[in-house]
Amino acid sequence: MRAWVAVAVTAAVASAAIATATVLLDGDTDPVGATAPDRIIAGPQGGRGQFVVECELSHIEADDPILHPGMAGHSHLHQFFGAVGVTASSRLSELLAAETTCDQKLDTASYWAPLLVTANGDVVSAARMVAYYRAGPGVDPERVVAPPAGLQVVAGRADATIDDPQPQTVVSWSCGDGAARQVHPPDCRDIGDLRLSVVFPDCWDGLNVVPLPIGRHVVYSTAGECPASHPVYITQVALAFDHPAVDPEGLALSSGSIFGGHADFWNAWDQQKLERETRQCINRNLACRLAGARAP
Amino acid sequence: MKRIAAVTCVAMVMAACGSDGGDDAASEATTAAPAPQSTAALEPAEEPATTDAPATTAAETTTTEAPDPAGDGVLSVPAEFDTIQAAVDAASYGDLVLIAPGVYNESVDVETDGITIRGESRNEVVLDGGMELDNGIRVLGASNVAVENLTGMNYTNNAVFWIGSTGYRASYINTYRTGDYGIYAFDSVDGVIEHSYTAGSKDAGVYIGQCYPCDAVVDNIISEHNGLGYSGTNSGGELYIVNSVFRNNRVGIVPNSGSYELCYPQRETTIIGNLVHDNNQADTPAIDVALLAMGNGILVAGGIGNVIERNLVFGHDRTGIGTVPYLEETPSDDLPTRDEWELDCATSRTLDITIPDGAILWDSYENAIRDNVVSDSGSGDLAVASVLTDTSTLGNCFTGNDAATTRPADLQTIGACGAAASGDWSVEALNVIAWLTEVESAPPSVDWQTAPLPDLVPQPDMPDAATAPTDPMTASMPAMDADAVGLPADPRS
Repeated sequence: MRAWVAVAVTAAVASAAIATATVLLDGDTDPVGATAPDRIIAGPQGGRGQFVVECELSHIEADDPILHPGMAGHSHLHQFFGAVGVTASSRLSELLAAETTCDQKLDTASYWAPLLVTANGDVVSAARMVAYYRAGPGVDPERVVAPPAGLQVVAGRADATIDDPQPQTVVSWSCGDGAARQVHPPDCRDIGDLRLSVVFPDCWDGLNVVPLPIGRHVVYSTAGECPASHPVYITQVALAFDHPAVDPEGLALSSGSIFGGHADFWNAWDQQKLERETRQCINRNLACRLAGARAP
Repeated sequence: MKRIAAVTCVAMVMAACGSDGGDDAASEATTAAPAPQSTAALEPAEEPATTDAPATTAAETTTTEAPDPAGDGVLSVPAEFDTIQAAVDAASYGDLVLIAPGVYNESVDVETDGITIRGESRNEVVLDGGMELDNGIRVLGASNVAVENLTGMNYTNNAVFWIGSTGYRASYINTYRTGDYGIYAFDSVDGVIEHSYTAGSKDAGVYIGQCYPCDAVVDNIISEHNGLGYSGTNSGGELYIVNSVFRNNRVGIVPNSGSYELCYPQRETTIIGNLVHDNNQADTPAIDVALLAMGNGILVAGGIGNVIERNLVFGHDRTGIGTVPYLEETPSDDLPTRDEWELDCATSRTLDITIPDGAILWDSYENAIRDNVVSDSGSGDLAVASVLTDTSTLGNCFTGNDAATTRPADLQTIGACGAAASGDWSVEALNVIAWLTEVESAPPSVDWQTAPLPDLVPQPDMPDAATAPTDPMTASMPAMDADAVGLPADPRS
């Protein structure tokens, strides 16, 4: 009985969280910060400050430590990258102590996204994920600081559909690392990987590291400026999930519509290293690393 | 239009797979005795740094925050500073950070202009990333920083790395096992990489990228058992690769163009007097380009106006010296126009991006291949290829080479330097498209952490490491007399 109540309460909170997340990232009428970037950062690397981490697939689980904490199996299927062994019940301290699938061994953050589901029901995971850390578009790189330790963010809307799409500046598809971005997955067979790109907000309220139960703790900058409500300029995290190219006809995501692309970021980097990279590469506007064109 | 047709063409090709594993040639003896630093003659050292090796007796107070405790311009590790990073942070322009033999598990960032970081012993001062740390020494925009006489190994990214620097020098460096590059200069100009040895890099042993004009010299290095011996994306202009050995890599020397980095196209690298052989090595780590281009000695992939002279090249499964197109499947910008070839890096990087709707093909134009000695190449000692373009129109020329086989046939007649192209360039043309299918059966990349290395013989030390003075101005390109660089000796004779 007691257990049942607990579950019910948690579920209610989780539902509220989903609703909140939807409100957060939907529409552009909020006076305290944008719900999408002005533009996509694309084109040749090397001209702006960045650091880059490449991570292999860790595991696949129907867990979501941000939206369904403590509730194993309550989410749609996610593919996890970065910290190894992350579950719905993981704690920050466990991530910090975990192994990582990233080539940057001090990056024990967790990154996750839904998987591709083909027309005949095959579930397709990405071979690698690339995390680009940069200043947001138009943001003075010298103002940018590292995301705070433990920051949890969801970007993109799982409930977006073809009739209720989300901005391409938040969620887009491309063949490999090419600059041509699309709302729907293109056919990349014989060209390269099928990449899902998800861009995270770059303005933080300076107070809250988790989206629950407070609500909106991060927003996107506009014209290079963060609003007064979210005055802390943090690195823009853009995640790219490189899947083997598949027939785009009838593609869906494990969360539902193919238009509902989204991803989650839980900052569990060695914070000192994350701050160092932000200072050395973003503040100094140096391209400390470039991502390779395709998954190995 | 051209690029769309190219993709179709590529997609339709079905060819047999024939890449052969590659033989493992024995390593030759080490490099010639170390010449004096090529930079030494450029500017006399005017500030004689102190000459004494650090006294170990200073070690009682190991962590010293005060800059240069001895006041002699020499900051000693570990005698005066526990870590290389602490000494580097305390150093100022003109100082020497002098490192005693030992293993240092460090990732050092350098932000100060004009310092020299030197090991007392090239083979016994070892920066070891333990397969965990990212870069051994990373110079972030600082000018005229020299790194000398030490070993960097087991880094997930690079052993020694300059980014955004004007003036750099790597001398008497060893790098073993790196996840990206051994020695790497990106978006940096006015530099020297010399008397160095690099093995087991996943991407390339040495990489100079995104600069034009680069004003840089790679002189007297050995690069082996890497994915690529040398990689140079979008780099060139007073860029010289001379007197060096590239052997037993997947591919030897590979300048290429690509819109994934800035400052395209690749232009005007001068490659003279190098020994390039047996670059068919199957048991190395490799990125996609190395898998695709395996078995080539000197391969210009979408490069323009490079000069390749007096190299000794032998033992390649594909070509000894080739100029081929580079297919960029997911480009970030469209091909530059011919008049944009003239633009320097500072200008070209400001141009607007035009995103193509398909793949693009970078052809190789106006490269001059003269007076090389090339032999034992599986598909041609000398070769020029394209996919759609009539290769006779590309302006690549071949003269005075000692070469038994060419693709197309009679290349030194129909494509002689200083004369208009003539004859039939379709006879025995190189089918470079087949490489795109052959790559499917290429020996896969071996993890860089575990790929076998050649026997690592001690490499010659920098002369007088303990006492040689420092001069920040030697971390810049020396005067270069390319005409004085001759054909290397044949290690087989």
